[in-house]
Amino acid sequence: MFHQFNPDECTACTVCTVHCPVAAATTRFRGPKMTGPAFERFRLFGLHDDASVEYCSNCKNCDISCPSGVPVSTFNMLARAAYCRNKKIPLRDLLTGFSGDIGRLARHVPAFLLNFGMKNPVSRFLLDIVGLDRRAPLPSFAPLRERRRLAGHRPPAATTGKGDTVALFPGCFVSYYEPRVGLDIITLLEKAGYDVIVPKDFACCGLPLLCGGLMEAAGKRARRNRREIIRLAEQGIAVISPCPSCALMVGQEYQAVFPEEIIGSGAAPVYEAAAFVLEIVEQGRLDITAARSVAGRLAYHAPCHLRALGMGRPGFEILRKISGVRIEDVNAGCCGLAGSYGMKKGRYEIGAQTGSALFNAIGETGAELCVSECGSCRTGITYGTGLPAAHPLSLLARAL
Amino acid sequence: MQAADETTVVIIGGGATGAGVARDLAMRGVSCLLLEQRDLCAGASSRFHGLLHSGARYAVGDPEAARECARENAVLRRIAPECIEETEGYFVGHALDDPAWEECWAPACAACGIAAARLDPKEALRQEPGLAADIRSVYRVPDSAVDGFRMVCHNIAAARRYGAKVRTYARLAGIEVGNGRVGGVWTQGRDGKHFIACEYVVNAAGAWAGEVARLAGLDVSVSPDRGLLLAFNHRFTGRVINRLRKPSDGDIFVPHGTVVIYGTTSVPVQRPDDVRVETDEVLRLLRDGEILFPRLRDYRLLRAFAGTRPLYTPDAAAGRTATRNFVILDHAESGLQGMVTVTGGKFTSFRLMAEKTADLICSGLGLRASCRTADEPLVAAPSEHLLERAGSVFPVGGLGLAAARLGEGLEDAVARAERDPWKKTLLCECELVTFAEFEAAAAQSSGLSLGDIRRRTRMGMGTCQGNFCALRAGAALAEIGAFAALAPRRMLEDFLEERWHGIRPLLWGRQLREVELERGIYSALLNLEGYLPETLPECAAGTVCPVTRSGDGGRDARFSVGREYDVIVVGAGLAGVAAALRAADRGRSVLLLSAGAGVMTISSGSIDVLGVAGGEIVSGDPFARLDSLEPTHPYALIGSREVAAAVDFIAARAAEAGLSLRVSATDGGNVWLPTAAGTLKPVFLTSPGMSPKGLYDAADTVVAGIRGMKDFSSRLVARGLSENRLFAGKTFTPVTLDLPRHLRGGGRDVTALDIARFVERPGGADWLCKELSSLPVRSQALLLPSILGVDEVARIHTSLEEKLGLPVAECVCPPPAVSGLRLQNALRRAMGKSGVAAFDNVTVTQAVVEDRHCRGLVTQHGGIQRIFSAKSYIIATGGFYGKGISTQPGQAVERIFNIPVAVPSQPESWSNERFFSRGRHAFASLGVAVNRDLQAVDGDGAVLFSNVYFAGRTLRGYDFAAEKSGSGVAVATGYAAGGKA
Repeated sequence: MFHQFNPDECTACTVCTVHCPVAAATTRFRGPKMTGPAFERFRLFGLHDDASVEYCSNCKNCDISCPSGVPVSTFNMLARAAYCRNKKIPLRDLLTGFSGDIGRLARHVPAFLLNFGMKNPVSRFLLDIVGLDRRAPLPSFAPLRERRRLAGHRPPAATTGKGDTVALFPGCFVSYYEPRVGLDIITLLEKAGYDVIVPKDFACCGLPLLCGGLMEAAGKRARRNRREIIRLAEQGIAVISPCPSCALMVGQEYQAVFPEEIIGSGAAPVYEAAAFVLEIVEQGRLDITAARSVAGRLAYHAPCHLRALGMGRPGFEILRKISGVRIEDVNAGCCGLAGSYGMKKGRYEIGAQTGSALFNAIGETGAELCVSECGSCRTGITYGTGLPAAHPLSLLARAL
Repeated sequence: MQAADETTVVIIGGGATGAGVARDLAMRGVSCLLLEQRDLCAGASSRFHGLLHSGARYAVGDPEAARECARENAVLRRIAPECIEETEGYFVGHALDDPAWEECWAPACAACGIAAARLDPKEALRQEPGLAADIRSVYRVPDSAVDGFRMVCHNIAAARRYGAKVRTYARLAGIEVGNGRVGGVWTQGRDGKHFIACEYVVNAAGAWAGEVARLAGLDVSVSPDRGLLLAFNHRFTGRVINRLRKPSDGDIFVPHGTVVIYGTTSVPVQRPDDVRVETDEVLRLLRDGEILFPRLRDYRLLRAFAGTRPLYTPDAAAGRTATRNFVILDHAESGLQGMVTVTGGKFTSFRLMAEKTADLICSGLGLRASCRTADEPLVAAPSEHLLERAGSVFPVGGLGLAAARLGEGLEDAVARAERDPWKKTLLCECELVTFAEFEAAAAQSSGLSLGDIRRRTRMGMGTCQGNFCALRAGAALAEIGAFAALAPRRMLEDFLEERWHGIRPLLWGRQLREVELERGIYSALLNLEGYLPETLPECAAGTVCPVTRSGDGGRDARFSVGREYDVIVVGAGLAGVAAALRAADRGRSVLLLSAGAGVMTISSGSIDVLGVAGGEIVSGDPFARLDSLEPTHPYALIGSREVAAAVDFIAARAAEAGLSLRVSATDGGNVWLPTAAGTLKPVFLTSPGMSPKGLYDAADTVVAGIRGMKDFSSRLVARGLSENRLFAGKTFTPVTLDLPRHLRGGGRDVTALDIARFVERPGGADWLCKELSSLPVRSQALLLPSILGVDEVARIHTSLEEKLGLPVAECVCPPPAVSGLRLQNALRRAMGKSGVAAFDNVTVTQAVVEDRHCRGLVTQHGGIQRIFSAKSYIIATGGFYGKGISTQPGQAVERIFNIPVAVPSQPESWSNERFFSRGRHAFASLGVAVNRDLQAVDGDGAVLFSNVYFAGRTLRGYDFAAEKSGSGVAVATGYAAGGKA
């Protein structure tokens, strides 16, 4: 245990437990305060056997609400890793944990094969047996052509070297399920005069692995990504991710979870894409005054990990700047899917109950389209409301 | 069996030595009675490091003591493993320490037979990364941690098993002496004076030994020598760490379960009960400790405490020069038969002291029985079967802890939890003490103080220092009808006062935050001081605000555009939210930055204005009292009209968002709401479900609790209210509902919030209604914990009253406070409607100031620094708890703008001796000094920053807890600041 990371800031005040969506949905979870800082005092004393920490969805509402600045969810993730160290990891957690690697392996396989392979009733039945609830939504692989286009993106030769360069950390969700989002963001950034590269050396951010207690595998990816980010930073290249969870993990969580990799390796921030674009819009670098309005009512959902980033609600702010756009910030909490949490058996009901508040609130807005920065949230919202969901920057790219 | 008023040996002192003597004599078949003036182990046996010496510390100066320690260390590990944590220890030499000491120390250890193995400092650092990098040499020794409470309690239990008698809270009033012999002793208990005839008196009174001897006309020179100890919140070392130097102050760190104890000092004192702790002494000790643990000051202190060692000083040696060896004085040598004093020594050798004492007495009695205390285990190991049963009862990891703590009481605790599965619930979450364990310990204790149970269980000794478990403990005792002689309010008060004693010398940083939280709960939320009005106010069903009409401008909410806002508010508590709403109401574009969700869920969700002023209850219109407060009071600064307008404003915004706050008293004054502690708390606006009209009017009221729901005991509430003079002649009947099936057996403990959420779900309200309508008791009113839903409270409350046909009221409950959450949710909805942009999870680290004008606020997050700019800024970051004001010993500063806060010069004058004193604690009203416009000012009244306004607890000049004015000041100053910005 890294000794500078200790539970001393916690005052046992219960605010995190009030704001924890999992605790609100089930009493099987002891709550973030107990599994986090309270049990941490016992873990330092050698007691590691709290199984309830498996219920934490790592949504980070505890960290967001804590009046004392305690990184509660990080305690929980480390506790889960300690708990899992000598246990067999269930196949389910291996599947979700390594979903990025699966997507990478299947990068040359056409989408219809993948989707059929994954979503046909027999597969769902088998997946259900290994622990992925058959009712849960699974994202669909994107057409091979789009996946290849994003992975193989190069700045146009004519512009290379003329503008600032930024690197896209697309993240697994965008890479394999929604490369369009990545391509849209590239379009916007190029419009603002950036050269965008998509480095081949990035690995999965490791968050799904960490959530499955696969600390070692996550650490391996962390080291690789850090190396790459530092290399880019030394060339003055900023890293941008369309996925708030990747941005959070790479930009902030590595420091807490893998401090030995981070300390002394220099600062290298990772920007969440919408926040970055909002910044360049406000600097006047990207002109959106000509953007056409988006038809219909929009409902905006701020992903929990975006809120944890402390960047506000950039997607909402951007779309609001487009004249004629009717958009409402739903502000009704976690979508319940929390990455792959709500797909897992025994968690599906928790996720469904958590998300119901959000889905009802979206319903009440009368929106025809939902907007959210997070791919997993978009999957969950579409599943819960039947409404299509888009990344705010995709809408912006189309409106320009 | 011999009657208790006649025995062979009377032992004076319930510390380790006395308990050891009792066990030893009882095992040899000698009838004995132990008398203790307070609870067991209340003296030095619990007020030391808890170090089971290997002897290495004494190897150079006192080889005899060292050898003795080494032997006894091995004996105690063998007979009492449940009291000992085998940690091993390091002796660590630092570059600053004299190497000559090490040169004579290592051979001395070898000579005493103490295994001291040299270790590579690098390896030691790997094992204990908190140690300083510049340590020079490390030796490994067989030191261990020993739990003094537990050792004494288990010794006593063993002694009882062999027939010894024990009386606690029995003061020795005299020793009967005649014809050169001891004839007996006089005790003074709560029920008068008693004589106990005996042949021998063993004076094992520790630092009090001199006083006891005096009662027999003897002179024994025992000098009390005070040692200071500090308890830290987490286990920053897993081993005992000794500093390798000539024994001095601050040499020893001992890990104990979840905490680390560090000490000590050596200060000769006049009286054995002089266990004062002074802040300067604490700071000196911390400075010493930083040599070995450089981050020591960053670790959270829990408390400071002191014990008085009994040093035997016949030749006027004192302090560290006095011997640590024990002495046994047979006073027959000075002409008094039958009196033996055993004193000096160390905890580690208590068993040996007892053995030698018992040998002496047995030879005097002509008995040949030999000592068996070194051979027989202290506690019989629990059977496999019992451990298996216990395994399904105790929380994760808690079984071992509970088994070791309870000793023979384990079976009782297990049986209790098996009978009532909800008793697996944690009463003390910081130290993992279940209700079952608590009850088992209560059954073993005197029934006179919660402290007795604390010592047996460690309840209240962890992170929160009783903030959350004290009320639960009172509730648990009320439920089982124990400790009935004590008024619950007094019992809680005494317990928290005792905790306060150890916290008071540490009033800075995190301890001060915890104290502010504690005052928020026990003083502001529960009014444990017990303020009461002359009579209950007359109540109506409640009028909706406004109380006054404020003619504020139109509401032309405008959305923020771009990063340049009109107003940035920092802080999402009530003050920040009120400020943001008001500024938005005035057409400003507003950005709210917050680190954390604020603390509305720690509040009652009602709005108080002023309940108490100058220690007197405010009766009638509280607004009328505001302008006559001290001129620096925030209310006096902004004026009562603004305060009234603010209260109207917040009520209107809450009402628009679906939460109607009401004035219940017909005279427009405060109403007094019942609380979960059985007290009454003054508020101005009540939140739905809380209007006490029905309760005031009813001749009989049913108080309904839920079995297995934490923090609320219907018996505690019913007792508190029926003993309240304002309810004279009225009856309160406690009843208990069963937990909804859905919430049973989950693993997490159920609170009022879980029930409220359940009640709000489909079928939940019907469940509640059905349970309540099938109660066997009829009444005119019904009192409940706050469980009537979260956001749907108004609908659920009305429908329940209609269906039951009687008024229903909720009590104010401790955190997680449902009523506070209702207000928070409503005001957040209101902010959404007003177009306030909110950024969660951002900590503002500093401000950019040019020419006394703030240009922006700097945030730092994940390596990304950002600057947020606006025309004006409102700082509502809270006080100590909200981290708006940060403190260090003797210093306080506003965190963002670095505004120094004036503080009392002496650490002791920061606070009062009593926690629940009616006078203000000086620390409570420390904050930023402002002018009437809520701008910070310097000592001369000059404005520091022209476009920055302060609101809420960041301000100086009021004590939210003592005045019962927290939400009122927050709303009023937030509203006022929002009106300026």
